Amino acid sequence: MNVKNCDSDNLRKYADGLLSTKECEAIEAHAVQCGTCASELDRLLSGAAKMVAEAAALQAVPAASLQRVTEQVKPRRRWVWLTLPPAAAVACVAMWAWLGAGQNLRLLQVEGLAFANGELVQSGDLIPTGATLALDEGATVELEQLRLRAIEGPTIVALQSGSRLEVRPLSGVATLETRKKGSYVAISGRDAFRPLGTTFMLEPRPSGATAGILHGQVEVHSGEGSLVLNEGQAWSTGRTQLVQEDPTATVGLPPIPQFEGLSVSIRRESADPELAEILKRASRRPKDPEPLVAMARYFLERQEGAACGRAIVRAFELDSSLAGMPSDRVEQAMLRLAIYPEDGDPEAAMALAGVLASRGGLTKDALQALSQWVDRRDEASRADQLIGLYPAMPSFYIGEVLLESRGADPERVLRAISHLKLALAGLPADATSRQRAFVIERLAEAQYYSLTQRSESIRNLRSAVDLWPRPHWLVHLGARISETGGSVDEAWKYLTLGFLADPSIASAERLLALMSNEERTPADLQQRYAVAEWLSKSFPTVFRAQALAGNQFDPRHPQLAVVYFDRALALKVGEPGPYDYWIPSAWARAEFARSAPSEDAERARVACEIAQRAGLLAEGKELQLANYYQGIRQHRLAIDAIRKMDIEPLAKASCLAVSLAEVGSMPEALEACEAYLVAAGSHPEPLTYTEISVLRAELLLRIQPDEARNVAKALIVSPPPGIKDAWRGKQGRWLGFEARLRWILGDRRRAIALQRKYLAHWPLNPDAAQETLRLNSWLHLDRPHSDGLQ
Amino acid sequence: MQAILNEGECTERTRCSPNSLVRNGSIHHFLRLQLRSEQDAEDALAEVFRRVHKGREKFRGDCPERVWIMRIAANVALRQRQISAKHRHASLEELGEGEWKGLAMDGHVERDAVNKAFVETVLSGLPPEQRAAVWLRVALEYTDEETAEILGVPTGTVKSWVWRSLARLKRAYADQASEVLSP
Repeated sequence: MNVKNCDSDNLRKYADGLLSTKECEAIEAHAVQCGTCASELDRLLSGAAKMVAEAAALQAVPAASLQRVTEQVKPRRRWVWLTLPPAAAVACVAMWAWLGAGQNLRLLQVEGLAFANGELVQSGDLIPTGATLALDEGATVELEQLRLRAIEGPTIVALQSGSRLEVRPLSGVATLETRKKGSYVAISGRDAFRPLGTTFMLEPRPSGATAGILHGQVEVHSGEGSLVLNEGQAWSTGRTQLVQEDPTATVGLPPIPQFEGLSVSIRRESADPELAEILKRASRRPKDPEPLVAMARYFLERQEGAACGRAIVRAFELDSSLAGMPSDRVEQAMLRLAIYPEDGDPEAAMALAGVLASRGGLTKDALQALSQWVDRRDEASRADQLIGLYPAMPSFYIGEVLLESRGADPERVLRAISHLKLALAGLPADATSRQRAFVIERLAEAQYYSLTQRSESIRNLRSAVDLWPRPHWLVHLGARISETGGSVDEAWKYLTLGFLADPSIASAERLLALMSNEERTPADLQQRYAVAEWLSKSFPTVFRAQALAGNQFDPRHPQLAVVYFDRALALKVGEPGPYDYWIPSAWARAEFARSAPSEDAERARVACEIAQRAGLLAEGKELQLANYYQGIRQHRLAIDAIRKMDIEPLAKASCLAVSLAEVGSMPEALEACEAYLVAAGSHPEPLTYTEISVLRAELLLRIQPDEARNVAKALIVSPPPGIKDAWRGKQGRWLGFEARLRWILGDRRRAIALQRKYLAHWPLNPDAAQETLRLNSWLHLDRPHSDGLQ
Repeated sequence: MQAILNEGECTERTRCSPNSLVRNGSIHHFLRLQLRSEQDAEDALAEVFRRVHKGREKFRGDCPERVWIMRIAANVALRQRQISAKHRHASLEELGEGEWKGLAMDGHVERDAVNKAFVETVLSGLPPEQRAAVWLRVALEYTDEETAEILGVPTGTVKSWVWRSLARLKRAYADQASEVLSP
């Protein structure tokens, strides 16, 4: 039975008890959501309700019954045991302990490393009420009421058993999966979360909790009221409405298809004894900041910023002076958390800056400037300002700041390299191999971005991996070897080793990149889609995994991309993170895939509608909007979006040049090309630089043919640096560019031959259709007696 | 316990003392309907008072006190039902309808006894959760949200249960009327 519209006849039949159970359920499901039908049902059933109310006319409890009740419940006599002889007192204590066992909580299932009150716990153990649990990342504890899992770094949770179980997360990010409806409540600060057959994520923070609903519903009670959160929605303390930064929240979230429970990666293969000891202490002394400081230091040494940040935040809550943490570690942690955009934590960084200032390590002015600095978005100006604010910053972090904010500026990369080399030279003799490895790895990364030092980069990365074979470094080395034209077999070897040790989303991302780089046949393509499918199935509740899977867009099966993107959007819960820029593009691509078969004219209309719905028209999203329009070849719309952009001139000019050329605004396109080439400097991104240079030559051909040919000749003689490197070389990019330049020079046969070679070299080129069109037009113009213009 | 029993009467909706609840019989009536045994209801009532007395200092006031107390009652009733099922006591569920009617009318049922017995008989045929929901919501006038809190289920479920129970009652009443009117 379909109850889409309010149907008064059905409501009447329902109230008269004339419908089947299935029909009744349909009516109820509808009426619960529809106020009008609910009122109508209440009205139709008011007679029966009156009968119940009359039947319940309250009466006093019969005196005899009341007497019996009061006799049964005598006030307890306290401290009787003080007056008892010792043996009786011992017996009382034993009895108390026996009776108290009823208050214990049984851990039905424990997976991974978990401690309760300082003791390692296993499946079947009993823990007392009020116990504090400390779980390693990936560990799961199952009680009668819920399944608790630490999903990002260690998680500390207090459990209080009373009339119902109270779960109080203290640190970390946990998922809570209900096993028995409504039988527990999660409490964080002044907020209470009542699950309604639910799986949800909860992260406690000093500024308030953040919850994201993965499955079912959660009722949130805060100081400001209460509301019910549905699947795919998120909530932060202090907001009586849902998080609205996510544009998809305004258009309704699709359900997660085929949800099969949680699956998260366990990044550490086995428990580190040092971490186990820290977790043990944290579970035994939940109000002592010392284990949390130790935990922060542990993760700081391993460069795991997010886990370090969470431990710091909790330690800071317990002791705002962080007495157990030396100033140099506070400083390191502050910089670590402030610098990195992906796993940094500005809130924790500012807490640490405050500690440092209180110890005289930072001036008050610097502290104030830092607090304003944290909110800035432009990476380059952030970096410069940080270095200026903090002149005593060690070389390593200056190098890191410069590397993270390199953008397209080769000068920054070179400065980063020199600072990282200084840091390496300045390492003390007793530095651990891990410390040394970390600096070398960062140096290798900086060298990779300097296109002239790639062989040194690979050499250094190998050294770092030898010193410290971190799984994700192995993956990284494999990918880098492939990108720089090294042995494919060796690349696969490292990548496989790393991936098996760390089957995480990050590893899969690199694996997909490598596969994309190396694939030549449709079978290779199928293999990549298979990895995408694995990624989607292995991490069904992680936004990034689903978005990555969707990005492996198979044009022959657009619906698959729709499924992945829809899952991704349904999962976009929590505060905007480093991947929030994916949201509108993911949304748009999913919608584009849906509308792919439509005609061009229709597509323009759909494009506008999608952009509107996806929030791409919002301020700050213009670049994604322009890219989206370019992707669907709606260049006039793209130009409008580009003109509104407030982004770096380089990206703006290149974007604009391409779209202007496409719509035939030649003078303006030429102007944009020249603006880009002037701004690009001496060390630009090779692909964009070559594209714009060739485009400029093509545009010039119409107004200054001689100049165009000179430009083409110069480019053929001296190709832009990097365009023939291993990565781009594998795709035969230069073949395509040279073909276009040969055409400008009038060497038609050579141009056609090169274009054919280009298409044969890279059959999976996403622009294959466009490039084939170019070839066909050249073949047409090259026919005898063709009067086509060059 | 005596101190609790000697407290004043319920003066407002959100602050209802255990004393007033016990004297006006709402908990007792609820338990009796849920457990369908006078003796079990008495035992359960005693247990409710014990738990209220024990937990009162810890009550944080994050919901109305009467909701807290009724939630305890619901839990006690649930527990009592489980125990009864385990020990297979001869409960009212195992007795015939006539005996139930007799018990329902026993003692303190004086006015509109027949109608009341009819309502209770119909409700007794419902699953315990539905019976509790309709009684709390309609008879004791708890809100949907309070009922959901007491029973630990979503508000929507409470609404469904109440509508379904009332529809069943209405249908049973209509059937009875047609039986009476039929020649």
